[in-house]
Amino acid sequence: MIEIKNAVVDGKLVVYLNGRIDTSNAQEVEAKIDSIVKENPGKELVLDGENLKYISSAGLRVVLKLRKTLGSLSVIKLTPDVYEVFELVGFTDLMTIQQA
Amino acid sequence: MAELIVGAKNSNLDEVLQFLDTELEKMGCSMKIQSQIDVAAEEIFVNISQYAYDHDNGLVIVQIEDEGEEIMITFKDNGTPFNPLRHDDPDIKKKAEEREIGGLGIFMVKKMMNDVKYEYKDGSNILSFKKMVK
Repeated sequence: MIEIKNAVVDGKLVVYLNGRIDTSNAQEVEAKIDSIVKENPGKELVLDGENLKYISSAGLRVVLKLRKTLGSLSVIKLTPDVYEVFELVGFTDLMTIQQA
Repeated sequence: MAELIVGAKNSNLDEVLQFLDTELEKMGCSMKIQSQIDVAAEEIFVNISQYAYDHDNGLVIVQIEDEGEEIMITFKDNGTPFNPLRHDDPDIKKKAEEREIGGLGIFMVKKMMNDVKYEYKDGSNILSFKKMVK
């Protein structure tokens, strides 16, 4: 349901989210991103949502936890539908959120 | 009206969403509306599977009805009486450090759907919402 890849681009740690984040895989996503962050200490985290099709509140909780832990977070290239979800819960005021 | 009866377990979430998506496609519903309904349905179903029953054999009835300009979706369970709508909405103006991790789900349902209602009737929790589709 979800494929997660990462790369360092211009000194930033970019995590690519391909698929859906819902209740059934939110914990897996959280663990995977946590381990990627640990392997790349000190780098600014960017979540690339170009291929993120769906996110439920379980997924939003993971994003909020990352924002709290890291102090800053960018989420980029979101589709309009997914962007709307981030906007609805007020995350657009808490972190850098960009539409595709 | 279409109906699905499933065990109140998180592992049945996919089945519930597939059931709804199939019906929504038949109704010619846009991907955007489908996705919003899925988000709302996931919150309600997961809430029931986690809190309604103190045993593993509880059931959830999911109903979807085409009302022309609106679609109505209803969740019923025979678990502990519980009104999820009574909780306060999270304060979405708070700073990230102060924001609570929980409480977003029901808030999203209320924001995205219309006529979100709860009643306890004849031993059942009944939660329903509507969505304009036309």
